[in-house]
Amino acid sequence: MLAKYQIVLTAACELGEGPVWDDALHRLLWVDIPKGTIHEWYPGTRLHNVTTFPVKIGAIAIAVDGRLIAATYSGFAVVDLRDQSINPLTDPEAHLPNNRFNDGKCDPKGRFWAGTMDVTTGKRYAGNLYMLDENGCAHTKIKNVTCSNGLAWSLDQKTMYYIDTPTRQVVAFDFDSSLGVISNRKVVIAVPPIDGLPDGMTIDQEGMLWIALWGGWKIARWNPYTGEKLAEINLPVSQVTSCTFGGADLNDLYITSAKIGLTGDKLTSQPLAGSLFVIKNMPVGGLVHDRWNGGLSSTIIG
Amino acid sequence: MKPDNDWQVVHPTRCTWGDGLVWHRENNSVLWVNRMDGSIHEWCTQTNRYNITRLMVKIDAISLAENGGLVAATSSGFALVNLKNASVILLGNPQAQSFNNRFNKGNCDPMGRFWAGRSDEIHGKERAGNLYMLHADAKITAKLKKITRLGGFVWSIDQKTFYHIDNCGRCVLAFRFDKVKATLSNKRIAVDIPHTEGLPDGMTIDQEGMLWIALRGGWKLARWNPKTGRKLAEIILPVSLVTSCTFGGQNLSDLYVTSARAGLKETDLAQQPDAGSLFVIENMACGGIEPYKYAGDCFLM
Repeated sequence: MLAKYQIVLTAACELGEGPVWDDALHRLLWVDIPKGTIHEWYPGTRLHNVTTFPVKIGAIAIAVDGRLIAATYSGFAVVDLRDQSINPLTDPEAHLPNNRFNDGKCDPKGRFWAGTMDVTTGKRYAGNLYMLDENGCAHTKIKNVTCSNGLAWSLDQKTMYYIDTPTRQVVAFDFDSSLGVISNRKVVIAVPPIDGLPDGMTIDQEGMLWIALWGGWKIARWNPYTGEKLAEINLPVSQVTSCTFGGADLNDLYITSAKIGLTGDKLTSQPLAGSLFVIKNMPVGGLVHDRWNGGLSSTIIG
Repeated sequence: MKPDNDWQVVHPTRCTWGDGLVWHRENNSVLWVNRMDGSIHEWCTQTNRYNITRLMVKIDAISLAENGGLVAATSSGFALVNLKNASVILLGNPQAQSFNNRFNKGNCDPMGRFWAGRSDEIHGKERAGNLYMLHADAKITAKLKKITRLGGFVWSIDQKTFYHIDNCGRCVLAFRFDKVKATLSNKRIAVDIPHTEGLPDGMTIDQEGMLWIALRGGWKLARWNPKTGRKLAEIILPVSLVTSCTFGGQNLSDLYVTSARAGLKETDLAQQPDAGSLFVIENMACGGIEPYKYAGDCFLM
């Protein structure tokens, strides 16, 4: 059976999300959404940097020039942790004040995909999934989603996997990597209610999906070709939000969690809620994170 | 006596202009600002956690507030800052019409009022600045007028003397301080600082009442006796622009020092790659005192 989890940072986040491994600087990046903070964890030196911005941030990815692309409550923005600058690019939902960005990730061609949800009233089907191209333009790719979440691309780059949390499903689209076009939607995994709600996800070197299970106290590995659950790893927190592979050999599985919304007994029964966890030396590792292709042109940054 | 050059770089992050150090006992952390970009930095000594909070205004100086937040001298005047959500509440901007003026150093007095000096940093116009005091009720009063360039300031251990650095006069001035009325009187020169030492900038006081002064351009800190005007010791650092210092650590015996890299050329930076870093000299023979906190806790944060 798989190795047990380790606690990297205890209860560091209100709503930890969107972990990204930076293979150049050997650090894990992730966000604490409601606090507008970006966390950096350097496993080599055990340094933990926390940068807080005056805007809430739903997801980040690394750009090819070393900066970050962020999906914030005020649209897409370029963030530089070296000088803590944040430069807005475009806000496709400036007209929808109840919506905010949630999870996001880069596709194999370096476009940044991120989706929204209505956090203010919780209205269903109010969000959208966008693709930000290398010129800083946002394109609507999927309409009428409720809680846009995990994204992953298959190893052959021909399939995009996507989670809209309340559907309890992972759907697959045919993905045209040269054009960034998705088509032919089909359900590939149905997550049973007892496992919790599917949240963030990552793909491993065998093409299997690791899915964080909100309310499920665990992460689990699914085969998207058969819809079969292959393995699960229990955690000491209920609200497991996302996971990604990191470390020098990309075989350490980092897992984020949340304590938001937990009060009273629910919080005291899981003092580790909000922690960052790691399971080292997984038998099957992950892939290098794709980087956002934009950000080099001065016209984008303005 | 420990060796004087036993400094360490605390963290690899470097500020363009680090300044405004304060020790936060409850968090076991040291806080400081980067004056160039509106960020507040915090190094938690127990957890290795480094927080950077980016705010909407530029911050020149900070002190702790009784309500758990910070009081700050910013590009938009006095403000309360809550690091938990990066919020800034502006309290009033003296000399708002003087665009060349900005704050430099700030510090709280023993009665919980926050003082900060403001002067012309763009053109260096003479006698264009004032030293302001922010009362607990957020009223603002000018305490010293028509000053050219005011550096760091502290209160003596017995709280009866106010020391401030006059950058231009290259000296430390001493005033009799009435802590109830917050008045300054009987000005005298306490320490003359020769040009060869560098430009005196930030300052802190130790438990023996001696002044530790950051010497910009001087590659060092030095300890002076304000009663005799004599220099007692110095600590050489690997950076030229030493900007401020304060005591921290559980026993207040670790001396933290900020530095700057603004204005340094590529060739300078090659010689001093650590410019902009926070330094610490641990286990000083004589430690410091706890910073006073701003008493204005009546504001909702």
